[in-house]
Amino acid sequence: MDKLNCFLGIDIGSVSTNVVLLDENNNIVESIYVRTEGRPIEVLQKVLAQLYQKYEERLKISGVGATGSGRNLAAIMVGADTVKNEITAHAKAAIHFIPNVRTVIEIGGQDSKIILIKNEIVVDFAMNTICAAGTGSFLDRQAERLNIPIERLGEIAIKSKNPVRIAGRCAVFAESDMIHKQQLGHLSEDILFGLCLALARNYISNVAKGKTIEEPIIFQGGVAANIAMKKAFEQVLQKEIVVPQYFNVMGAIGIALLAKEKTKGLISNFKGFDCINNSKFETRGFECKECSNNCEVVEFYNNNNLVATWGDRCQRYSSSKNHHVEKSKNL
Amino acid sequence: MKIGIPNSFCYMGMEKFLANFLSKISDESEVIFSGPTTNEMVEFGVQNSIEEICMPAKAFIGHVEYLAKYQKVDAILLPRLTSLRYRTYSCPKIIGIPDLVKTHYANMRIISPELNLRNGMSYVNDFLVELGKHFTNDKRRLKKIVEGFTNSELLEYFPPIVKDKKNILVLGHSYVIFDNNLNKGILQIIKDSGYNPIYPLYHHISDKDITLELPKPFFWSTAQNIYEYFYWAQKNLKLDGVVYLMTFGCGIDSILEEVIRRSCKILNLPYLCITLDEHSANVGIQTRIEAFIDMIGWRRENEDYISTHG
Repeated sequence: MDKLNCFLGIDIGSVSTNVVLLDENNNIVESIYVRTEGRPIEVLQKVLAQLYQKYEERLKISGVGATGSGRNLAAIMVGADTVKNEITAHAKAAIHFIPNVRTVIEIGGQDSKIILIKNEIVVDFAMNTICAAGTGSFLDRQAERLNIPIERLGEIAIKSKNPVRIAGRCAVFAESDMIHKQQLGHLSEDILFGLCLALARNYISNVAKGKTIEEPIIFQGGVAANIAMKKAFEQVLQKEIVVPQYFNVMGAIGIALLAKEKTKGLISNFKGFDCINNSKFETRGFECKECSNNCEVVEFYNNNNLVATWGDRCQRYSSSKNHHVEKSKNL
Repeated sequence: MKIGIPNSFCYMGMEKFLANFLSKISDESEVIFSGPTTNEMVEFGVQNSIEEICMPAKAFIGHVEYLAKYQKVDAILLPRLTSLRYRTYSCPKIIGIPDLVKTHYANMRIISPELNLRNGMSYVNDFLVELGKHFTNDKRRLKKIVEGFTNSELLEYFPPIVKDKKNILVLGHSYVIFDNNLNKGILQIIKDSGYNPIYPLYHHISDKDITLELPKPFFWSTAQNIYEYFYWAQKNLKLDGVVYLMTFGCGIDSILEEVIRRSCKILNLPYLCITLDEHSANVGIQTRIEAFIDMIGWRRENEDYISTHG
């Protein structure tokens, strides 16, 4: 039987880990969305094991890309061919699905972004500044407080006929506003949709500050699962918003596409499912006391071999000469 | 006598000038610098300063603590920088910083002569005379030394290397641009991605007032200087993009950033604003710069594409 030639895209975000398999014609063979739950190494290994179980030897990986806030970790674990930031990856995927897209609204677990595109080129972008109000984890937290599963937040909120006004500028103020409204006896759906509207307004005035939002607008990232958020954006912008079919794994799709471009005519660095799943990855950290900077140094071990170091400002540890390359002898 | 000079905040770039003068005026004084900002200093500053001041000012408190506690200096030299150029004033926090330190270190000798160049550069001499009086009573000798300093540079920084292409203009206060701890090594991040960072220097300080197509000049010395350099650079250099390093809580930045953002929009220059605060990880900055560089590369490729095919 012919092997299935695929490109692997890995997006390790703060809240979710997404993996996609893309075939040679850019069709999505497999897309997996799981919660990172603070254990990216374990979760990624589990997802890859799952893929291997399903396809076994039929799969040939010709390229791997890693993105998201855990991209450096993932890249070392799997032997990625390309490591890119999530903004580029998301833009790439958006352009792939809607070539004439002008605006990408992406809201993830810890950050929100706006990407402006013209003629299939990113012309401008912005991310939330130092505040994470209005991102997925805040919605998560509020849903939890009202004892509503996050998956159902959208369908409940969308029923609202009379949304309440909530301050979206700051997560703390928003929460106290919500509690106040709830104590006055407002319906849950009205409070929740009020929250969605507040987040949409906050996004427009904060992240998209001073930018012209033009159609077509594409809304992606985990929060796009919330149909009420889409409605809130449409109401605030008075424009139509498209949520693509694979909204929650767009970053992974984008990085798979980039990996495909990168490995054209080259052999992938992919370590193979076997190798990854049988390896023991471990992160150890210590506070360096060599100078008063007190850097928090993070060391990444593969089968007890030090393979990467991050966090030291002076690069005393992270300069590559201290690293044991995979092949070197066990210590 | 051990005299401490902090290498931080508004005194950054001025250390050499001050140390030179001190060495001329007094034989028995030894100058001690606080050196580059460390995490320890930042931590101390954040915990021991008032909430409202900006990040660089908080880190500055850490520098002073280092001089007072670890170096055990006898005095700290903190000139009151009322104005650094013609017809402008410094930021109110900069003007007040010697007082801020005085309240905190009641037993420390703080030498703070006033530097006010609002009426012209020649007033540097008044400043030096006031500073010199702390060390000598010999008026004639002082006058002679001050005269020898008339033409020396007040502020000195590493000048940027301007290249023919791939220049990225990094704007912000010099105490942010030259402090690798506060800016998380942004100049190196840009260099590592194959671009050439350039930044404003104070060498334009002059008595001339350039209108710069603004309805009126800026009120603040630093703002006028940063804008002036931006204006000159976008006209005379080949820029690929502009990065503005904004410190959270800075009043000057809040207005200047907007002015530069709008200018970049009109000029069709890629623009990125990075807000700096107490973040300990540089992941956020790394992501933004990487994406910015990707965007520039993307644009550049496309421009090439158009030009080769007419």
